[in-house]
Amino acid sequence: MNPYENLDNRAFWKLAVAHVDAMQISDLWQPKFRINKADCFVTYGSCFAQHIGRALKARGFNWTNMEEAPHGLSTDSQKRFNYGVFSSRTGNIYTSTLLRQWTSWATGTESIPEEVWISGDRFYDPFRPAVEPNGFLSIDELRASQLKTVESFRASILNADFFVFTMGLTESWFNSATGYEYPMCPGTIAGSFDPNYHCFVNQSFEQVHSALVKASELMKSINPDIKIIITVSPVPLTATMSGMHVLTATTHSKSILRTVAGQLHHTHSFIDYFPSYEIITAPIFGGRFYESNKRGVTTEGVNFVMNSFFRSFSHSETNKSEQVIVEQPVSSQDDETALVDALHCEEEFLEAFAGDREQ
Amino acid sequence: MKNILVFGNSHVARVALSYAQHRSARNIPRDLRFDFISAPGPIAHYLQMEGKVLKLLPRPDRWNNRKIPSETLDKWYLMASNRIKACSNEEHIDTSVYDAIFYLGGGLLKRWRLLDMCLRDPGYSSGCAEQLAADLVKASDFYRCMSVATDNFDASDITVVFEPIQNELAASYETESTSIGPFLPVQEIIKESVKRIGFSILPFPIQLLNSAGNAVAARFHSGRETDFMHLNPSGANHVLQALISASPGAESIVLPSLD
Repeated sequence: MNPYENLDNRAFWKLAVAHVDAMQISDLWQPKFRINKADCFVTYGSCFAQHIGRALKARGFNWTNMEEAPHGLSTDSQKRFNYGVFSSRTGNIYTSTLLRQWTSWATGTESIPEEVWISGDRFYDPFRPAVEPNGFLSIDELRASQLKTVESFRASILNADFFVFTMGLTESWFNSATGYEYPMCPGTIAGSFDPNYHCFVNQSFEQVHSALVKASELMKSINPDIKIIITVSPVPLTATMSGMHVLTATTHSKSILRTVAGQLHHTHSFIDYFPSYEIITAPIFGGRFYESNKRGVTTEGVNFVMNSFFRSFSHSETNKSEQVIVEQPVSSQDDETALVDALHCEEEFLEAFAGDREQ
Repeated sequence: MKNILVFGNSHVARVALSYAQHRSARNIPRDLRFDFISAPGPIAHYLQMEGKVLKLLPRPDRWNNRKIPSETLDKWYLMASNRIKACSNEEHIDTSVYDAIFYLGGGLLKRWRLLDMCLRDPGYSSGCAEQLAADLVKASDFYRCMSVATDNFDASDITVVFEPIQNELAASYETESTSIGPFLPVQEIIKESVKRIGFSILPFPIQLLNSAGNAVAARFHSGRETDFMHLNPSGANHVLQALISASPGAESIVLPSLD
C-alpha cells in the first residue's frame, strides 16, 4: 500500500501520455476557479497573449476591451494601430517588471516618465513604440494617448474578474539613470540606443517573481476580487543579448518564467497557471505546433491550446473556429428611418426630372 | 459652349431644380449647359465610372434590399436609366464630351459623426483620424463607383462635391447627448484623404454652415417635415453657385438669391 495507488491516471506518464494519442491528451489543467462565460476577462502580455483574447471573444466569453478603436476604423486598421490586440492599447508587455510598471502607473503609485523618442518630425512613445505606425504628431498628442491607455489599463483591472497575463521574456532593457523599463531595446523600432543610459538585464527568478507579486498586489489594491491566470509564451526568443546560444537562452528564460508561474500558483490563492507552454513545447507533440521557422505557433497549435483551456471549464467542446461572425440584428427603427430617407430621395428626383420619359 | 456634368445621388436633383429655375430666369448664360444625372436612394450604388464612361450597372435579378420594396427600386432604377438617356440618348454617358465633371454624393460624409467623435477625442491620434477617414472613403459609394478605373480614367478629371449632411432639425440631433463638433475639420480630413487618391475637391459652401460651424444650418431645411437630408431651394442655390464658380469660363457668374 502506497500513496501512488490512489492517484488518478493523469498522474502517470504511461497512462496519461505514453499510451495516448498526443492529440487526445486531456485534463492538462484543473482550474483553481469556477469560470463562467459572463465573467470579465482581460488579457495582456507577449505576442502569444493575443491569441487568448481572440479565442475568448470568438467562443462567446466576455473578453473586455477597455480602449476601443474609433468606430468605423476597419479591422485591418485597428490591428495596425494596435486596437483590440490586448484589453487596452499597451502594446506587448513582455516581462513581469513591465507589468509591475504599468500597474504602478494605473494605480498612481508612479508617474509615466517624460521620455519621448523623436524621429524626424514624429514622436514615439518609448513604452509603446509600435502602437502608432507613423509616430505621433506632437508630444501633446503622445501624452494624451498615453493617458488614455493608462486609464484604460486601470479600468481593465477594475472591471476584471480574470486578468490573464502571458509572460514572454526575462531579457529586458532598462534606463540605468531612472530605473524604468522599455518594452524594446531603444533603437530597434524607434529612438536611439545610448550605452550610457540603456542597460540590458536578464532577469533572475527573484526579479521576475517579486515583480509579479508586486503587480498582483497593486491590482488587488484596486480590485480585491481579481483573479490572475498566468501563462508562459511558448514562442522562442527572436534574439538574445545574454551571450548564450539563442536556443539555450530560450530554455533559460522560459524555465525561469515557468518556475515563477508554478511558484505563484502554489503560494497565492488568487493566482492560477494555465499550461499553454507545455502544450506547445512538450516533446510528445513533436514540434507539430510550430511554423516552419520553428518559432511561430500554428493555428492548429493555438486552437489546441484554447480547446484545452475551454474544455477545462466543463463546458461542452464547441469545435468552433476562431472566426465567429455575429450578425447584428437591424432594428425596425433603422428600417423605418432608411425607408423614409430613401422615399425623400425619390421626391427630390421626381420634382427635378418630371419631364423624363421612359425610352 | 461649356458642358458640365453633375452626377450622383438625390442631392443632384435638388441642384438641378435650382439650375432650371435660374435657367428660366436667364441668370445662367446659354453657353453654359449643365447635365444632371441623379440616381435616387440605393440606386446611386449602381452608378459606375469605367474609364470615361458613366453607366448604371445592370439591374440585379433580385434587389436583396429588405428595407425598400422591389417595385419601388425597379421604379427608381428606371428613373435613373431614363435620366441617362435623356442626357445622352444612350444607355451611358460619355464623360469626355464635358468640360467639367462633378460627383455630388457618394456618401463621403455619410458617417461623418464617427470622424467628428474621433477628432474631438484627445485619446485618438491624428494619424488614427486620418486612417479612419481613409477607411470611410474606401467604404463609400464614391470609392466603389470609381474603383473600376481603367487605363483612360483620370481621377483629376472629376471634382468631388460633398453632399449636405443632416441638419440640426434631425431628430437624432435632439435626442443624442453627444455634442457635435464643427464641420470644417471633418471636411478637411476627408478632403485630404480623397486628394491622396487623386481627386479634386469642391469644398462645402461655407454659407451652408450655421454660426457654430455645424452643417447644415437649420434655415436650409428642406421644408418637408421628415426630410432632414435635402436642402431647400436656398441651400441648393449655394451648391449650384459653387459648381458654377468651379466651372471653366463661368467663374464670374453670380447667381441671384431665389428667396
